[in-house]
Amino acid sequence: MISRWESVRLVAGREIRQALRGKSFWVTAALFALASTALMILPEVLGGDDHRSYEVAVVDIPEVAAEQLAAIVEAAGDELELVDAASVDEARRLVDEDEVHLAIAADGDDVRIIVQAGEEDDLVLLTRQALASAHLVGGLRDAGLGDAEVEALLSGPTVRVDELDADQESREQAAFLLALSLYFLLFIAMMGVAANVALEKSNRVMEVLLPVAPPGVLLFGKVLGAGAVASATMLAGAAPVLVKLGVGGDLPEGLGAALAGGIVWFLLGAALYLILAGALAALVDRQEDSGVAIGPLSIVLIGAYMLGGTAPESTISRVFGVLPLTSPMVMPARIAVGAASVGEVVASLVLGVLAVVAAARVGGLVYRRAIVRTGRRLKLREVLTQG
Amino acid sequence: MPALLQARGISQRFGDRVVLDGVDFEVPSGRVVGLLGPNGAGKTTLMRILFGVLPPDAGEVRWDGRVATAADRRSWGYMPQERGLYRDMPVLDQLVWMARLRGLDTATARGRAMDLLDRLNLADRADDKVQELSGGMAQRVQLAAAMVHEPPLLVLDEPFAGLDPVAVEFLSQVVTDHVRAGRNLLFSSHQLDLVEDLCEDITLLHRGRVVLQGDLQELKAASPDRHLRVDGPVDPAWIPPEEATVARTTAGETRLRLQPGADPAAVLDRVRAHRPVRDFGVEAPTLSELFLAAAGADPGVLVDDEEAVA
Repeated sequence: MISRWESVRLVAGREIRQALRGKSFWVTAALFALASTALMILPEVLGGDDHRSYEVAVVDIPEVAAEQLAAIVEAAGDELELVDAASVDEARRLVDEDEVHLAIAADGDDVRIIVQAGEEDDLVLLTRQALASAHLVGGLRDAGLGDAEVEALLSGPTVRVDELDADQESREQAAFLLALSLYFLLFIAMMGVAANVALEKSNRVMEVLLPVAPPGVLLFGKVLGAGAVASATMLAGAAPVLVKLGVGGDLPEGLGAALAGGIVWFLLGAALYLILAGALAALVDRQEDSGVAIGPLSIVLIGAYMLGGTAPESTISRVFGVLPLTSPMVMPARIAVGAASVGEVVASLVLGVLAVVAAARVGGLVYRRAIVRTGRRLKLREVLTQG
Repeated sequence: MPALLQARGISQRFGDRVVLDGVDFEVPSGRVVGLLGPNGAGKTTLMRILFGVLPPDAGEVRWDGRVATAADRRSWGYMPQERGLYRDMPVLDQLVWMARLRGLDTATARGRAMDLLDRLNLADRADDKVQELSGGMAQRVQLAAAMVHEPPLLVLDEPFAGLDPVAVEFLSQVVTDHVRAGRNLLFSSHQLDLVEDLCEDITLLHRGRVVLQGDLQELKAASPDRHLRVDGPVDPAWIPPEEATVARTTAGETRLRLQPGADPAAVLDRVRAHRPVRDFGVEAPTLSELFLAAAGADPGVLVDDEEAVA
């Protein structure tokens, strides 16, 4: 005699083995691992050097202005190359054709900065500062001060800018990536469970299995197997992050918390969505219809993904972050951007667990009743009301 | 000795449609039992009820003298019509998995599965996926899946549908072997002519009711109907209806159903008056003739859907 748990293990084991046999699991896992690795490595490769090299066209500007501009740009860690332009018109042309970032044209005391509208704000600022300094230096020299005295006067106190919420952008990116990955994995797993359930019903494998194993065992084993496969894919995506963490590398701010939360809500979400997908797919008679059967679930999933991916801090996200079905997408994103309160997190977890228990009961009932009724597509209501 | 498997008063309706209406039947050990009837008679529904896949509206299934339990049913083997296999799973893997679900350990399951594949001439396809096999081979894998745990009761739903004559012969042998080993077997078919020689006991279903049941040879002997078989075609106008009617015409011969008290020789003479007769015989009814007489049905109900399409 075989125990229930042993049967569940066998059913789940078959799902996993079949998934490992197929190409799609390996392709998906490889894509996740590659994308994640790229995200971990690219900032190290590219991010180390965000210095710029500016090209500036100049027309008749005083030497002291050029000196000051060079000094200020270099102090900011950037490079400067000056291009002499013959006239103001030529300077305009150079800016217009993006040959240079900016042009400075002097006509006596009248100095103008020429730049494409809305661009090079930083450089404009530096240039203004350089021109002001140059004016000051000229005045001081005219007053008879030596170079050393001028320099001493110019080097005022160092000013540092402290940006608040400097990591907000990276937190939002982490939330978006997480919501996208969770959505993708849940969606694939859900489609897989639905297709397999409908297939077993249509190819009569069910008739062979039902006398051998109770329907609850068959559904739960399937959910467990598909969940394990999706988790393995998730792990493939998380591995590069963990490796980077292990070797002491910097992670994008918020990603660690988001990932930890993501795993918890991913498990909740997987249990909930996969049980419901299995139950709904038992209503249809042909595998082709399984996607339609789980249509409502897909819509909720997409909505939750869009919410979590794009507006995790909104009030509406606060609500949907707590509600089951949407919380698996929304809550990890809220945690990533630091918008979730402890109360919300706890409420979301408790409701999520309750929802899984309820789904297991109702879903198990629907599955048990629907899986043996072949011949046409069943309505959820008739399955629930007729014993 | 009472039969191990018995069904008593099984009734089932789907909405307003009565699919089974008080069906009683049993499967005696050591007998090849056929559950026969045209498509839509209720055979598959009855089999699903036997296996507890479908709970009946009324009636009970008994095994070994008591109501059958889930554990009893787990020990039986079932082969549903056509499919019933994971097409994307390798043959041996699938058999081992099915056997393990029934509680066999991996080593035993593997040994039994390889034995069966050997016997079914499929040993060299053990690692192929089911979808890579021909229809006949897939049918044999299905049979193996139903038998791999050595069930005391084997139930086959339409096992002969779509098989070529060689495969039919092969499967008939497997069925007979299983029964001769003292085990229980029930199979269904709508192709009465095909299984006529295989069946020992029959239950004939028509529109959810049992219309004829028992030992096939005894039923034939007990039938008052006699048929005159002659080679070649016969024009119905040649014979007065009070003597005989044309029951069936096939490519090579005609069967005339003799009316009670009619003289077969006289009917033969009426045919010979029109053309020579080279071969003839007076015979008991065939299985399909028994069915048609018992069901009072039109011969059209026995036209095979698949053949009609083809």
